[in-house]
Amino acid sequence: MASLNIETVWKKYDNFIALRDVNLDIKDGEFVVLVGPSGCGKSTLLSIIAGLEETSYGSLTLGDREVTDLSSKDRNIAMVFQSYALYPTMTVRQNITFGMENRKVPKDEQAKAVAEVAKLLQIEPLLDRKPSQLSGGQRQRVAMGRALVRDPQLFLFDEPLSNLDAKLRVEMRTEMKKLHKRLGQTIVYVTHDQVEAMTLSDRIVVMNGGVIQQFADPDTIYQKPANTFVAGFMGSPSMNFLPVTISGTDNDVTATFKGDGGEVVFPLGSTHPELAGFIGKTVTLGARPEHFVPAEVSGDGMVRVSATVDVVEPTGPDTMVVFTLAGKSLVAVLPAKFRPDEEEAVELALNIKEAVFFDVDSGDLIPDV
Amino acid sequence: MSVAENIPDLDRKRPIGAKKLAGRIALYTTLIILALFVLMPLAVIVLNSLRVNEDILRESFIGWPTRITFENWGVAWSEACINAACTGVRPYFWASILMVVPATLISTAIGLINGFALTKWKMPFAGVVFVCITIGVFLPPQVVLLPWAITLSALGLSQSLAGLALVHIIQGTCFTTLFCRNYLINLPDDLIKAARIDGAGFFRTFWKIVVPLSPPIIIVTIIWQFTFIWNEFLYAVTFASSDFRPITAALMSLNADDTGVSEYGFGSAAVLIAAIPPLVIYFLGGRYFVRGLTQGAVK
Amino acid sequence: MSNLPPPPAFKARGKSRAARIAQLIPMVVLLPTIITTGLYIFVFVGWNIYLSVSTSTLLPVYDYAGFDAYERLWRNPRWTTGVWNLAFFGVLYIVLSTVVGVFLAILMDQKVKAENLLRSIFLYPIAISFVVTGTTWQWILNPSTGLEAFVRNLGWDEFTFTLITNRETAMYAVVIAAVWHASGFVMVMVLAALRGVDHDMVKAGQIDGAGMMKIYRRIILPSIWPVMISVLIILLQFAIKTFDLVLALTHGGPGISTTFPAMFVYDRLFAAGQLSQGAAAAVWMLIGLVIVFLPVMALAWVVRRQRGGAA
Repeated sequence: MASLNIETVWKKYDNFIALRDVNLDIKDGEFVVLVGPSGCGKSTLLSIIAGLEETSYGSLTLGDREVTDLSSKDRNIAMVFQSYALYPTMTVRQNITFGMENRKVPKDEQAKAVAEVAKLLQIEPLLDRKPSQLSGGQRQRVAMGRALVRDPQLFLFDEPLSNLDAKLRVEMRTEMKKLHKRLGQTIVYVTHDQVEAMTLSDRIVVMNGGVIQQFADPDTIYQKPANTFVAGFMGSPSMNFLPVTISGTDNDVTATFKGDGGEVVFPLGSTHPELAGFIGKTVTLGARPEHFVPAEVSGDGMVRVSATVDVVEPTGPDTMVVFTLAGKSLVAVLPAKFRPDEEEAVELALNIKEAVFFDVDSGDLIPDV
Repeated sequence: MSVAENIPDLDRKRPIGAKKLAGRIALYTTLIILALFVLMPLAVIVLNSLRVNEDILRESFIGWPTRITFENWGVAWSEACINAACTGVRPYFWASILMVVPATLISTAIGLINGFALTKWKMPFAGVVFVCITIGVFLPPQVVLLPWAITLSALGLSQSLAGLALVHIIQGTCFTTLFCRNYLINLPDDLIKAARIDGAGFFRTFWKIVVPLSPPIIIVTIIWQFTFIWNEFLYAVTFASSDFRPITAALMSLNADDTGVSEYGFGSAAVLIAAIPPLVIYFLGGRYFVRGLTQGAVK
Repeated sequence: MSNLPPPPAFKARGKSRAARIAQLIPMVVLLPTIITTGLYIFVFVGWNIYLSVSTSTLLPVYDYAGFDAYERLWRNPRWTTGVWNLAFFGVLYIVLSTVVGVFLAILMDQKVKAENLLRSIFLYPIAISFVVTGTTWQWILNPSTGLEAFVRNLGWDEFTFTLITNRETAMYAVVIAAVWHASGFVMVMVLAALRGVDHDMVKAGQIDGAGMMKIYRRIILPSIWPVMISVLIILLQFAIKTFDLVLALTHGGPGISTTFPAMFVYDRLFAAGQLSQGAAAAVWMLIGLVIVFLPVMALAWVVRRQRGGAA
């Protein structure tokens, strides 16, 4: 186990810059998830950490060793692939020991290590089978076993759960979290599934266009997204964005949205002191779908709005409602029993305290004061 | 949900309509006629190899053996005169085997490791190499025939088994590399990456991961190389000598010997002997033969 | 994201020795093939071109005689006839093999019983050498021993079948043998492609009310173009290299009625002692191959692009 320090790493392919000035300081024993849309550079970054790709610039330090120019095998890392990449012609046991064999580990040590890992992952009965005789979940376990057996300084996971069906994925997610609690390894984990990112990680790295957008713990990422990209990417359905004009005085701020269908006024009072410097300017208001509630349960700090319902999508535990507010289409997640008709005019309330504001030009969060 | 008590007869055959029946009859008739036509030359020659030569001359080349004889095979194998040497096709058959087997195995082995290097390792100019190899496959042999002849004689290998094998290894490598490349490119890259992280180098990954996954393409390549080199004529006749003559070249001499009475009986047997090795391989490895055709050529 | 930092100067960094050696291994493995292939593609072809503009006759002479050999070539009836024969044969061979092959493939695609057996029968000629093919067909088509004698023995004394001995028709004998050799190959290629056609597309065609003929013509066959191009390329190859088949079947005769460019090259190089002319003829064969290949390659490229665009 070790910390991983990534410093000003760039990666350039022929005409394309895949990573721009990536800096990460991952602590010993930390579970870090890299998340972002496809092509954002998260897999490239993982490959660079693994030593499967070279950096164009910058350095990597694992523990107290600089590993920038070391090949994969000399870095003391292990990796679990999306496709599991089990060697199809070897048995499970041979799959697990292949790495140790290459490193000339004595046979009896190999046997001991296999036994331990097999017990930990409950794959003892599978050891003499071929990968083709295993189910998806079993293959996943074997792939983890192959990584765990070498007791490396760093674990890399490349979307390890994405080939499992939904139910198994949730089970394995829980299991991985337990395993990490128990063994405390340093883990870098790539996924495009934000639920996985939120549930598993100590800290999340959100990437886009080869640039790190935010590196923070899950709650911060969700509640105080660094910019509109992070805000829009994390959370499903996506955060609603409204351009609003700020007016009033420092202690009594009002935000006004002017749409095609009229004007909506959000009296903010003194709930958002960070907006003090923005009076007379336009900012982007960000409101999560669950920050809307039916007007009749509204309480303190809620702003009532009149909306027209477009689409109602019951999801079971909730009702997702797409509605129009002054000509702008927004999404709310409301209690399951709230079932308006389409075209119906409803009264909703927005929890304005939870709303966040972004600079219109840069898209960056307007930070708390 | 309740389960139905009475299960209807699910295996009942639907009656075939008259129109459909006529269609099926026409289909099978056409296929059988065409199949007989394709089989005809082989059948004729097999029958002839069992006929007495006088019968063939009297009744024509196409006919049923009235007196069955196996003598033709013996004569063709060890007694028939080809190019004024009455040794049968035996020495030529063995010359071909001794030349074809090493050439096939060596070019296949090189092709496999080349395919691995080309597809799974980042290499500068991999595209250029690929294009050159493709050109090598398509280049008409006539264009390089003369330089080959001059080079081989400079190397002291002219008109020898080793020389011809060398030509086939070098040219065949283009073909085998292309074949293996097309197969190995579909091997998941993750497998190779996993091996790298597991600390396996180029050769160890090749030997422990790639080779065990390659029997299908190895078989296909061997079948195709063997058939191609065995059947090849231009190089065979160019680089043949009185000491060394592959069977295709010998057969052509037999065919061209229009001196006096034609010996169709043992001629047929000789032709069959020349055709047997690739035919045996074809019928044993038919599945792979077809796979090689469709896999190697389409991509 | 408007104020992205500018990229620093990327430069190759010093790698560890082990890493550099590891990177070199695949290159070293490929090196022999690169050298030999480069040698025989570039050096040998260049060498051959050089000899074609020399005064070489029996032995190679390294001087310069201009394009004399090329000019004399086109005044030589053996060569011009060969080129004409190749064109005539090539077109018939490719068209007939393709038509027969596609026809067979469609028949075989009708859920035929004993499909494997039939496929083995149709395909086996491709495993047989051209020498064997030519010899066998020569025996069968030869009037004094083959079909004519066979039918006369059956009682039709007047029956004549002199395809192979007639100057005007001998080329058809070559075509028959060559089509016999290749059509099974076309069938297997096309059949495999037919099996790869998206089934939903066929179902959609059936629901749209198209008959089976129409589905093949309008939906299935157009979608297997890439395979048809591969088939075309391979048949073109076979056609241009035609040598042993004709040698065994007709020896280029009667007269020079079935002579081919490849036979001319061999004859000049190894029998007539006219090295420069043989080399020049070989260069023409290469040029011919390039000329017929370029449009096919362009077609393949266009088709691939269109498919890529549609996908």
